[in-house]
Formats: sequence, C-alpha cells, structure tokens
Amino acid sequence: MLFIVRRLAALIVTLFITASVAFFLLEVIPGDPALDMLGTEAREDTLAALRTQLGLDTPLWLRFFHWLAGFVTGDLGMSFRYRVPVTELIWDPLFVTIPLGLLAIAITIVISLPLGALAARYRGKAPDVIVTLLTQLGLAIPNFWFAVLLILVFSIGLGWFASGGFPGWEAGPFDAFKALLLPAISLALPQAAIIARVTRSSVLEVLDQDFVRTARAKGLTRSSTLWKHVLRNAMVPVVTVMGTQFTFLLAGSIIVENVFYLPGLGRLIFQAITQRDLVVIKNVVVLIAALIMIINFLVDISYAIINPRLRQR
Amino acid sequence: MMQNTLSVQNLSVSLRTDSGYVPIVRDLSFDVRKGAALGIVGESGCGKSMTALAVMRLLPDSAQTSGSIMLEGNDLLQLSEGAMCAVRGARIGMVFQEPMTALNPAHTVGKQIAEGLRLHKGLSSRAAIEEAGNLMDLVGIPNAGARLSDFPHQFSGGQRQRVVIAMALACKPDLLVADEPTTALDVTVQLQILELLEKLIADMGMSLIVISHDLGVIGRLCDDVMVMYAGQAVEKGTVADVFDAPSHPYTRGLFGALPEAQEDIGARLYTIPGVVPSPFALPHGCKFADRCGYVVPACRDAEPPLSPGKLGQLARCIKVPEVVA
Repeated sequence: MLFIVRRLAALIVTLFITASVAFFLLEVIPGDPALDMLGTEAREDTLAALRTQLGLDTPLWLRFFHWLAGFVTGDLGMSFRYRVPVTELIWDPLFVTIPLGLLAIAITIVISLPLGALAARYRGKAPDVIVTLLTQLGLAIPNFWFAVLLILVFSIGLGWFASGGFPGWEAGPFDAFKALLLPAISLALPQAAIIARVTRSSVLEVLDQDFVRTARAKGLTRSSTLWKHVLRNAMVPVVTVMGTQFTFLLAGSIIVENVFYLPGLGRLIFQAITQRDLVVIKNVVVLIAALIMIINFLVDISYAIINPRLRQR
Repeated sequence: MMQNTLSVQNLSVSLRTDSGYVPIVRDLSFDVRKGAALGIVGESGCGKSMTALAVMRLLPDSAQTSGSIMLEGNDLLQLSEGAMCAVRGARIGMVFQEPMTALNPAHTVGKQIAEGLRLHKGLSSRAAIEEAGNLMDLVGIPNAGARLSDFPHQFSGGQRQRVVIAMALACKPDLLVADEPTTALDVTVQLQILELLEKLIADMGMSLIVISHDLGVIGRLCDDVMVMYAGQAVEKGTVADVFDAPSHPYTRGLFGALPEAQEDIGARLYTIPGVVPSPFALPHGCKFADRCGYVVPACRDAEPPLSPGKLGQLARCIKVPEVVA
C-alpha cells in the first residue's frame, strides 16, 4: 500500500514539473497569439483588448497558476484558433486516441508474449527462426508505410475495412472498433516486434535458472513450467520495456492518425502546431504526458504484482 | 537377496559440444538398496551431478544417455517424457545444492510445496496447502502455518533448504536424490540439515542418494558409497569397508586430502598431485595413472576392471594389494 502511495506522490510531482516545462517553454516562444488571431493589419487597441480578454496581460506566474488551477478543475481555456473551450476540442479526440492506444497495447501483448515465449521454448529450432525473422521485419518496417500497406490490402484490395475516418462511437461500438483496428495493428507492429524479442531473451535467461530445474524435478512438464514458473519471472524486464515502448504509442499515433484520417489527439496536436494554437498545444502536451505517466504508474504497480520482493520497498 | 530401489546399469552420458560428443559419465553401474543411502563422492567435474540429473532425466538437451536406470523394475530411460513427469516428484524427489536459487522468487513457499501434491496426488489447492503446512512443520520450520504465504526471500538459507527438502518429500517418494545438500550452507546450518535428513530417512524409510565432495557428509548419512573419478566408479562398497580400508589410490588420496581437526594448525593440507584429466582428452588405460603413486607401465595398457578390494568393496585398480598394504 505504501508502495502505491509513494508512486502516486511521485506521479503528481512529475506531472507538476511537466506542466511547468510545457507552460514556460511555450511562453518563451516568440510570437503574439493576439496578433496571430487578428492578423498583422489589426489595430493596436483591438490587439490590446484581445490580449486582456485572453488574459495575456497578467503576470506570467499568475497565468501559470490560473492555468494550472483550470487544468485541475477541467477548465482548459479557449482555443485561440477555434474560439471554443479546449476541453470541448479535446473531448472527442480523447475517445479516439485512448481506445486506439489500448487496442494497440492489447494487440501487442497478445502477439508478442506468446511469440517470444515460443521462440525461447524452441530455441534454435524452426519456431525461433521464424519469430526472429518476423520481428526483424517488424522492426524494419516503418509503421506509416505498414499502415499504407494495410489500407492497400484490407481496404482497397479486400474491401473489409474503410480506408480511413472514424464513424464516431454513436455509430455503435462495432463500427468504431472496426475503424480503429487497422490503425491499431500498424501502431502495434513495431512494439510487438520489440517486445517479442525482449520476451524471448528474458524467457531464455529465466529458463537457465535453478528454480526451473526444481519445478521440473517436481514433475511439471516443460510447458507448465514455462507458463507457471518462467513467464512470470521473465515479465519484469518485459514490463519495463513495455512501459517505455507504450509511451511511443502516443507519439506514433500522430503519424498513424494522420494516415488513417482519425480525429484523435495526435491529429489535433498536429493541427494545433501548424496553426500555432498554443493553448491547445500546451494542454494536449500535458494531457499526453499525464497519460504516459499513468501508463508508467501502472507499470510500477505491475512490478509489485510480478515480483513480491518489491512490495516492501 | 536384498531388493534394490534403483539399479543403474552401464550408464553413459555424453554432452554434445562444438568438437563432438564428450563423455561425462562412462559405463557406470550402481544400486541403491531399499531403505539404504548411497553416497556418491568425487571431485567437481567427475560426473556425479550429471549422474543425479541422468536419474531424474533432467540432463540438458545436448546430452546423450545410454544404459539402463531401473526404478523398482521399470527402466526410466525407456519411459516417455510424459510418463517420466509422473515419476519426477512423485517417486523420485530431488534436493539441490543452492537453496538460494532453487525456489521460485515469485511464488509463496506454500504454493511451491503444494504444487507437487496437487499434480501427483490430485489434492485440491486447499488440501495441498494444508499438507504443505504439515510438511514445513515436519522439516522443522517454526510457526509453519503462518509462513506458508511467505516468499522465498523472507527465509534464511538453511530454512530455504528445509523448504526444498519439504518439496522433495511432499509426495513421499521411493528415492530422494540430494545433490550437495549442505555445500552452500554455513557450517552450523549444515549440521542441522544433515540431522534433519538423517531423521527423515529413518522415519520415512525411503532410499537416498547423496552426492557430495564431503566425506564427512557421506560417512554420516550413507550405508554405501561410490567414489567417482573421470566419469567412472573407481571404488564402491559399504561405507564401513571403504572408509576402513580405502583400496583405490584415489580414495586414499581423498582421505588424505580430508582436513583433520586434530592436525597441527599450519601443517600443509594434503592434496592429490596433478589435475583431473579433461573429458576431451582422457588418457588410455587407467584414468588416474598420471596422478598415482603406485603407477606401473601395465596401468596405461588397459582400463583396469573393478576388482575386489581389501574388505568387501570393489576397486578399479590392478595394484590393490600394494595399495592396501
């Protein structure tokens, strides 16, 4: 329990630091949002009025805490560009990107763990060679290219999926899921390749340990030793890599959402950057950082589940 | 004739390496009498641990085994892997050298002891855990019931070895194989574990193979002893005979190499000159010839057969009369 409280405290501190960095970094970027919104032809008093309206004339630290308070209470301010509350702007994309990420994580785990374990179990034999080849391919193929390939084969060729776009969750969970499947697969591919490799080497390492022989001496078959004794111990390094890899999912979603034309956070932040919509950028950046930290928090918790020795620390 | 629990005939084990198969155990035959304890002694690398793993059929995949290993009349080497899984843990239990690493760090000790019971005896998880508690009590872990849900890292080395012993005994096997059961422990703890093993085999009436490089352990626990050198038995017989009148020069060397408490402090420890021959390049004839003080040219002509020693034992030496004189 203490373990969880400590990790939670660390999470909050890190989040605060990230928020500060995101805020002050965007503050020092040259450029005047008011000027940007009204154009260079705008009159000086109009600009001043808008700055007041946007709160840009108050001291920096006051704005920081104002924004932070807003962030915590769910008031993220107004988008400079669209003139709508940022909360509104990110609400729908959030329900595209998070399910997309979760689906990609699920696909990654379902593919990589059994493949890695299989390769280790049959080390040097055919399954190992095939898995190694597949992971090599998975690592070599850039996911935007793989995304295009998936569209070519499954959307244009076979016509099983739409080539892009998102019908919205109103269209029913099945259709929404269908729209997310190909993007999730292309996001999962490099992750699955990396994690399958880590799983393979980690399982091989654990297979060499004494307690595996003890389990076999008890009469367990090779397979049940693998599932009951080896995998759980092999998961510690795998979960570590998963923690860092899954943060790349969010970065990867910027590309994949653009290829599949999904209205997610990745596309939103991409558009916000091209349009200098600083309020949106800073909020989405902090939001993504928060998501990443939550993933890492869950990873830390799962360590304690896997490895009882960590529970007391 | 006394019945044997285990009878090993002409066991050979070779390991595949980059330069072909290397013989690790060569033409080894021995019996473990019912209710008796056999000690296998020898330097590291003599093949004694490989012999234990061969009996369990837990040798690495690169090993090749021939001969026969009869457990109560069934040849283990002929069993399918599935049938062998039903023997391991149920009819042969094994205790390992390293109690610190022999237990799975991610499972509670209760679960690990119970695992074999559930597998072989078909106990429910509840009944198995309860029995695990009894076993922990039996091997002398204080407050056993409360410690079932503890993890291995919460136990000391000696207690972990007790847990490993409890695991090996869980299904009341016919044969217990203990590979260097006390080597990794503190001297005081060694004695406790030996006393525990002594008591358990007396109480449960099972047969035992103890592998050790420590003659003291063998002398204390065993009825019979087999001395191994370069993958072969060089002397075997009852502990009484072999300890009273070692008939092979190597066995004599082992006794000479044994530090005696009453010896003068500072006196040089006796060691057998030379080194164990590499299994890659075993000499022709007697494998011990290069290190032997009794060597004659005939020793290098052919491998000596096992011949009668001074008392009831057998020794693989052509110069037994001179050795025991």
